[in-house]
Amino acid sequence: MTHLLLAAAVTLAAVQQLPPLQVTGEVVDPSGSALPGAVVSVRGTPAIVVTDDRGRFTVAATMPATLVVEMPAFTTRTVQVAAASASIRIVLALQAHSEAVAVRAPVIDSPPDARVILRPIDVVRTAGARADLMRALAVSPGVVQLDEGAGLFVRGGDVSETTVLLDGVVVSHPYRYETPTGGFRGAIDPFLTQGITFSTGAFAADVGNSLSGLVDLRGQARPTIPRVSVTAGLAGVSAMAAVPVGGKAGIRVAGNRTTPSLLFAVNPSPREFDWLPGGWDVAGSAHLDTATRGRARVFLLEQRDHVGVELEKDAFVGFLHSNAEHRLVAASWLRTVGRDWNLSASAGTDAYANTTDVGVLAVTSSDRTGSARLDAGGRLGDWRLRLGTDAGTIRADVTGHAPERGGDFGGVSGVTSFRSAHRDWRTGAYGEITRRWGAVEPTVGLRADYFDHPGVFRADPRVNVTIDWGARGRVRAAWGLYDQAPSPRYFDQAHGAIRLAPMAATHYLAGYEAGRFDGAAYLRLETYAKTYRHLPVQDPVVGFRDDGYGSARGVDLFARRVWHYIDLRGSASWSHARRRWTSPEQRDRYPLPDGTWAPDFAVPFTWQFLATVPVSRTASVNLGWRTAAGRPFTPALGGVATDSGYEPVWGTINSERLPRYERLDLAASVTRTIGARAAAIFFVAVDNALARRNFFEYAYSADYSARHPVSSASPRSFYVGCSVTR
Amino acid sequence: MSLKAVVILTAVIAGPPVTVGTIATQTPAPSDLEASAARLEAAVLAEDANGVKAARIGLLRQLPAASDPARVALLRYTAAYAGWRLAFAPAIPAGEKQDLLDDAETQLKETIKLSPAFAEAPALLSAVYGAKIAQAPDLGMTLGMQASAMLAKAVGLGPNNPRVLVLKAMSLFHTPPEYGGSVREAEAVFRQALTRFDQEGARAPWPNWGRFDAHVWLGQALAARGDKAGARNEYEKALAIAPRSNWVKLSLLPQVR
Repeated sequence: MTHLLLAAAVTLAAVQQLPPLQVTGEVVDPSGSALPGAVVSVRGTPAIVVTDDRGRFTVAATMPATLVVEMPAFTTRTVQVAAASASIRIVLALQAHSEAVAVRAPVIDSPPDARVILRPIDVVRTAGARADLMRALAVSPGVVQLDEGAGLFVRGGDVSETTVLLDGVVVSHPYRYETPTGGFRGAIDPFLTQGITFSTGAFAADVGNSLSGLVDLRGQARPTIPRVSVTAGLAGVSAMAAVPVGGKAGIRVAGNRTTPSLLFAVNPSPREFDWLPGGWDVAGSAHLDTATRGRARVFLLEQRDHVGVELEKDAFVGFLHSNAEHRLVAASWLRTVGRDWNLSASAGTDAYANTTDVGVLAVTSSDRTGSARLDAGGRLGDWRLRLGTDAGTIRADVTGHAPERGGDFGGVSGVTSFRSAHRDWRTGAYGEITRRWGAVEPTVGLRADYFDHPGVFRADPRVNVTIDWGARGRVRAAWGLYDQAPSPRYFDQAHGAIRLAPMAATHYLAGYEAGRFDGAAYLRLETYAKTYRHLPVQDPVVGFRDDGYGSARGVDLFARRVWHYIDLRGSASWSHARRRWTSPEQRDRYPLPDGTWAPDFAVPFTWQFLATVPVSRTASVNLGWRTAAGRPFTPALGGVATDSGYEPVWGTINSERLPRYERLDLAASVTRTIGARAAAIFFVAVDNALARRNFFEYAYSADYSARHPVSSASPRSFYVGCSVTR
Repeated sequence: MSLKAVVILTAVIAGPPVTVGTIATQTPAPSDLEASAARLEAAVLAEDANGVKAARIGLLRQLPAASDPARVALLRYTAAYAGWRLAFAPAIPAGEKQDLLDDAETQLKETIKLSPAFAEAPALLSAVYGAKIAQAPDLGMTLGMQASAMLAKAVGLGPNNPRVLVLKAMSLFHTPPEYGGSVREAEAVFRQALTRFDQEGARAPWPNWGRFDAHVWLGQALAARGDKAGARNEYEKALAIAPRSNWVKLSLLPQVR
């Protein structure tokens, strides 16, 4: 190996020391006439010559070389030269006639009016997020955490009520290692995106089929320079490459493979695994940008995940085996029309197949969603307008058998076959208009949707008013109606619903903000109230009815201060949520009282503090501390003996609350440049540094006479890695 | 002796060039650099990308015949300045912008070799790196630190140079606060730059660009902290320098009315 490296170094040195060769040529116009005065330079070197009166030139260049040929009124041309040749003939095309065009110093676009805006680097800098996009969003104000997963429960809404879009295409499975509370981590690598916008309520009319939150991901732009990065850490290895193709196209590819054995060797789990969580994913995107036809991008993602883990649920102890395949395709196109209008279109599919086997539950599911959108936005005088249409389809099939009573993996209360073949589609149209009058900027929007399965139309007006308040402050008030089709899981053929109306919500929001979210000082205080209608509720006769309802209200406070490179963020959220609602996984699990009760995600308070402190120009330490009230749970009061075991006697649904959740996460990173074009980042993280024993569930003895907390994660975990980019 | 003084002295003693009769082999008079730079700046202020391109090529044409290191350095610096300006012109294709920035980097590195004490070259190189990062954020990890180092070097060489101050303030304005940016600090440095421009005078020899930028970016810094009247005032001063700037007239001013 040493000899090989030495040989390579000697060869490289020999190549570098090759004397330059004289390259000769002539520059002509399309008619063949000589172009005197053209400037010929050798890219990356100071060598410059000018063509003579016969259009000829001679320049010294080390092979291979790229010549750049420039001439006023002609299109600049680059020519690759691999070896000295007799003479090169370079034809310059006439530049298309154009008016004088604006030339100016850098302009940075203002961020859109959205609640939380993250860049990929922000995801990495968030302590405890483990470089995961959804985990980084989970520490946003208004989001409650139910467990150590990445699920986003937004302002009194379930995780299924937050829609994730990638370039306008619906990502129907945004989590990996899916669980009823979301999943272990996000499906999309943050470095495959150029930015993330997260709205926690009262979002605009262009968003349909979403009840609580919106995560809007924008895919990476066309690469203009070749880049390669390789990352290796305790949890896996990954690589990314970006390759420009000509001046208008480019491709990006990325691959990732998890290596769980190393991670679990360093951080032993309290749970046993007979199949360590693992998997791989590959992603790629192709880009084409043209001046006349706009920018087009196609994104592809293929993922495989598996896990075999010990599970404790109620009085059941056994292994859960899960195997998932995920494929996402998203195509988008954007074109500027005239000075003030943008046209965009997107279409894509998300296909997911999963087998889950735990106790008496054994199901095979597959679903495929499709979505498409056409959008036009721009200016008419002082008015800003947005018009568009979107549509979505779903084909979901589930077969297998499941416990008669939700969560009864031991099958004490019986087992039933489960079969579902749900087909649905939805289409909608929207319009929105905005105008500023002095300090006041109202936005009025309306969207109309048709939901095919229940066969109903919904019209959702949405209004937002922003008023400038003081030099840097704004007051915002918003109101809107929102609808979302229920999960296909409600429609199994044996016990499920036949028809359910779209779930509906009304959002009321009032708040004040000062500064800019990405500025040095920012403060936001928002109060919200929501009412829910047509929520699915279990029914002994028809499976589920759609007469559930509920409400949520709360206050979110967020503050950010950056000074002397120290970035401090703090948030506090208080919320109160009540619902009469049954999630598909909890069918027939608990006896339902009259009226409403606190849903699993009714967490009254969440406080969080994040800090990034530089310790040198190239090193920083990140800290994250968060605490929250424990989630509500339903206590088992005892057990009743049956022929097949003990059936639990449940107390009032969600009448007790788990202990307070708290954790402190620490992370540090050091950046080192390698030559002029490469850099390495070394990172280390300690999650739950104080080893607090948080838990999110109780398990019970076989007769339900005693209970104990379920520990699902290592009390404290370490992570190290390195990423090299060139 | 400053680079500017060297250039002026060279212009005085060099005498007229030998004219061979073609545009390709003409060796321009030393004053051609000043004339080319004046045409370039006029095109910049008129937002005329084609004019900037033509002026840049005119500067590059002068390079093969130039032998005095100070003059070569100033030619390369000015060509790099033109390339940097063009990198923000909407009508220039992305690939060409990248070539222009690559060339600007090459020219500025040569300028620094030829005139190590010339503060504006590392300052502009820092801005070129910033422009490269803006076009390809992937480069931030490697070029970000180099941009900071170049700017620090420039400030060390020319702490009172108005263009160094303008470029430093623009960097402060555009850099996220967690990476050391500060709109408030940018505002102070833009004001400092304008004071230095007043001392430099309106008829200063090339390089003399930047007064327009100082006003227009100070205006944006003021707008960012809610001072619309102050921003309007700065935009009006920018328009007095560049009356044809559609950027100021159609984009910036309406935002603060």
